[in-house]
Amino acid sequence: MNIKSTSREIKVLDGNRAAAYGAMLCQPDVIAAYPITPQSEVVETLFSFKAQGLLNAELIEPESEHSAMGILRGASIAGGRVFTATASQGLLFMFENCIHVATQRSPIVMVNVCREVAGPHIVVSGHSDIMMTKGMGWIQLHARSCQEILDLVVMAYRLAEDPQIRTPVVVCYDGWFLSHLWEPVEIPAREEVRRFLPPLETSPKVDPETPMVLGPWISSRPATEYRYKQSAAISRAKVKFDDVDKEFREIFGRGYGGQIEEYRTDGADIVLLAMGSSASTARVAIDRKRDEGLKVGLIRIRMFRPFPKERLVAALRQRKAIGVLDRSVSFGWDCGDLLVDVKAALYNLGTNIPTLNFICGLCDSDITTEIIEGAIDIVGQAAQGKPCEEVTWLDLE
Amino acid sequence: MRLKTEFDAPWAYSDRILVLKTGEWRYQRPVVIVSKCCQCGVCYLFCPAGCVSDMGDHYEANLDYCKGCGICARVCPANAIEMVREA
Repeated sequence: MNIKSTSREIKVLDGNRAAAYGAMLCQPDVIAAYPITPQSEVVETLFSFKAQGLLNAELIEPESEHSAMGILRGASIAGGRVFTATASQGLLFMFENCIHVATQRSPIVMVNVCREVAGPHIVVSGHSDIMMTKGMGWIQLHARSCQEILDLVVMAYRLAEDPQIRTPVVVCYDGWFLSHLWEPVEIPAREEVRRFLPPLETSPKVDPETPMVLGPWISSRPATEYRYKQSAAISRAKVKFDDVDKEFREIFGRGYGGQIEEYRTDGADIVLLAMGSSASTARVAIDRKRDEGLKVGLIRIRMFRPFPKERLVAALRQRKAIGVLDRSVSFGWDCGDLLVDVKAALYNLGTNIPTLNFICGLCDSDITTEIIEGAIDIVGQAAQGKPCEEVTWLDLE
Repeated sequence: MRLKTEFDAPWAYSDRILVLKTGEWRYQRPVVIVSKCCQCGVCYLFCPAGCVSDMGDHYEANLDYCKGCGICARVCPANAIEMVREA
């Protein structure tokens, strides 16, 4: 493992190593992380970088994820750039501190390797962990390739540290399907990353010269104001993410479209929505269906929080039917989490586009191109006005 | 909309911190009989609120924070503290 300071190079990396490279290139001051399957290689690789002198960060392996986030909470209010990585039960365990750092507006960047939460006792891929924590006040980004994992970690720091946003960011990618998938990844030169990501300047911060208090007992009025400011800042991240993506393309030659990525949506009557690695598989299915003459396209949600409702509504306005692939279940709605948000966004359209939900890829189930093609066929029938089940559990078909 | 808070996060200057006056919760208060106080400091050690101070010739609770629990009166070996009901 080596890294050149002025030139790019291509290495074959898995998703976890790509995340570690992304973090190392941003040169955080403090990294506190507790290993958990399928994230462990992120932490291992970062320790290895430190041993080789590629990373100057203070590396801490605490006794739990809760403590890891607690350490970052302190390091961040002292003005440090920080990083951690977790998955599943680890994310749930650090949940309490995650909310604290969001309220204190710490620009923390975390990687979550999406894994189903127990029970039953399962160590498998799925989105249930990150969906259960979607309301914790973090910006939530989703990658579909190992290259995008590295790139998103770098972009995440720009979003988190933006003075108008100052909100923690979690970069998500699918456990196993991406964390352990090996792909060629272009590693940016350090100099380029330095140009893209200026040093972090925070204010106020913990400083013995001017003692300040963070998080004291306060009355309802200022507490409500902090909630208001936090909500507005998170929403500002939507347009900012589009800008950051454009700027990233200018420097590194790669872009992804910001909040959402559209694939062959030109003139598409029906559109499939997906998030994460299944969107890569869906491209192949879309290509096949296009070859058959079906006007179908794909929209990938890259930013799940804040939810890209404006861009999504604009992209879905003229469609005849929509299919939503969900890798989690929203208990109480009896459908997937993404569908709930998509339908809420579509309300402002004023028209009723048939929107079908496909629950698939739960608990490590494969989402094959054939499965996605089957889903596209059902959406095609809905576009022709045929009555269809709103929610289909594809893994059980 | 008019916002009053200066920062985006709940920061406060340490000398301007908004403090909860727990003394407002009290229904009885400790009154020290100065002549009886032997200045042993047991009340200072036992006060759960940490609000008892050495006044030079006796110890006394800061009534801004004293919740009136009565522990100081109970532990005082000289019986120098009486709990008096608040009006």
